[in-house]
Amino acid sequence: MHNLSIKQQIKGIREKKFSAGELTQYYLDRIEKYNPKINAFITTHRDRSMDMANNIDLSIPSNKAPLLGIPVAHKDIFCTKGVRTTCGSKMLSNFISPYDATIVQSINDAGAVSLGKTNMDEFAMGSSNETSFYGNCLNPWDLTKVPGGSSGGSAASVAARLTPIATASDTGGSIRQPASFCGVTGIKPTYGRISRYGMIAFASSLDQAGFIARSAEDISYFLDAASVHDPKDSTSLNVVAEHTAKSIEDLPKEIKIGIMENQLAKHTDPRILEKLDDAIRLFSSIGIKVIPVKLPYSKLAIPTYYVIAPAEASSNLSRFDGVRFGYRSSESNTIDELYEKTRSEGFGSEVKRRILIGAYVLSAGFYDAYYLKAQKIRRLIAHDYNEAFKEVDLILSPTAPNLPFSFGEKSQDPISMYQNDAYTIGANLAGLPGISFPIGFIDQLPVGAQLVGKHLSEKLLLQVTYAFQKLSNYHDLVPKGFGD
Amino acid sequence: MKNKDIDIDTLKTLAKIHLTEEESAATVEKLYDIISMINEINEIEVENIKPLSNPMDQTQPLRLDEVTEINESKYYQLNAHETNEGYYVVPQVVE
Repeated sequence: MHNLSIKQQIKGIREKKFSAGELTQYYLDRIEKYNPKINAFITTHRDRSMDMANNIDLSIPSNKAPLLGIPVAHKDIFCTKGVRTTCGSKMLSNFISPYDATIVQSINDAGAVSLGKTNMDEFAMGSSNETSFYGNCLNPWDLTKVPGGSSGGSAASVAARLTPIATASDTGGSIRQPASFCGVTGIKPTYGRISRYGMIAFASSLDQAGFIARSAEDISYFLDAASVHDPKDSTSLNVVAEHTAKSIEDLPKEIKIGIMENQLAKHTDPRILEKLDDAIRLFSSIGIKVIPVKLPYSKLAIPTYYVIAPAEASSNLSRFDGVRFGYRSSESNTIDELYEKTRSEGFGSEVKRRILIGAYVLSAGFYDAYYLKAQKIRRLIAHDYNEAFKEVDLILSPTAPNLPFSFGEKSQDPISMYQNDAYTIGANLAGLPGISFPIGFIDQLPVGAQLVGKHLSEKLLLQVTYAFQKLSNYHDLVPKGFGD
Repeated sequence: MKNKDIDIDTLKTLAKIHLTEEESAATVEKLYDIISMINEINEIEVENIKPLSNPMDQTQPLRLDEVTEINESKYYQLNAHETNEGYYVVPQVVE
């Protein structure tokens, strides 16, 4: 059953070839069997999942919900009512969310069945899943390699076919880079397309919820269900979303894709660029024109991001003080000690580092030199994209400059780790939608390409990726050791 | 810029994070590398550029001043370490 697409799974349940309960049971059994190999899940809730699925079965055939009985895993950054929500941190190791995130509510209302919560870098700060308090998540394609991050558990669980789809979040590449590392497809929608309500905040002007699944087609069903205006998120877009699942096969004519003339990463593996050339040839074969474009200010995307994101994080994470929820240090005698020791013991080193950087760039005397200046460069970067989109519909690049790396290889060198996001950060700074999809393998490790589009061009991104995936089978391959 | 230019004690106070002396020294090394990297933004002049704080360039929407939530404070406080009659209990604040 794990080789069926979501479209086929929906059809199977509607036509009673199998029930929602049987499908959910099937994936729960796979999680029980294979999750110990990769540690993709932090929390599972078998009884709750089966109750949800059995209730769906009782409602058929009158229930016309679009995601009827389809299992989904949630990145542990999304609040799930009555279920532990840790954000990969010791700080929230005892936090039972009293409410559902809007994305969770939306897809529950559409009939999806939650399987559990996936592993992630602590507070979504990382590109390897190594900062999780709950242990490393392993890449199903090679258990000695990282799955990427921060949505490493979501990507690994889809790659290992422990779930057909998973929610994820992307602040600087946290959906697209792990999707690339795990050989699956991941979309970061336009900023504000999916509500941030109930998604534990990292950097509020960059954070965006999205999905990781096997294919663009699988993503389209869930994106349609989740793309709703939410008054609870003041940045939620009040724009009716285009339906993507129904029109995914309707590839528009005369599409132009731009290729960046300037490489954004300091060192991109030349073998990845060769795979990108193969992808360009495939796009050309279906009549898509490929031309060079320039994004001159994007070379400043990483330093700009590492001013803005830590600044916003230092503000957002001030709520974790041991008073109202979460971990509290037992060592404190005064209120200041309570705050300081709770945060020292509850946060990991990368999170503490980013909070301190945020405090630095926002501190007296430095605000104009760092935060304000970065916000100005952000406009220049966004302007670069706007100019490029006068010439092309989409921009193609590698998703990451390197292949999945070994555990410990970059964790002691933050600058090297941050380079992983060189191709993805620009879309977050400009609020643009981006998708990563598999384009081949090097040394048995997956390689992904990224397409970035104009604001609200999710439909086109999915249509073009779907067209690519009709002519390639990389997204259909299952890692060895996880069943056929 | 040098390591000594980073006032780690002030940053720890601002961030409300306790670090031992050993942790502080190691953290300063990493912060120095990161701040050196972000200093690349000083390569260009941006005097007349308007900052971009919302990537969609939106302004803050306002909603009617109406109560939309019900009081579920008891339920929310189940996550607190310690409460007493609806208040959160913390160590003594005033001497």
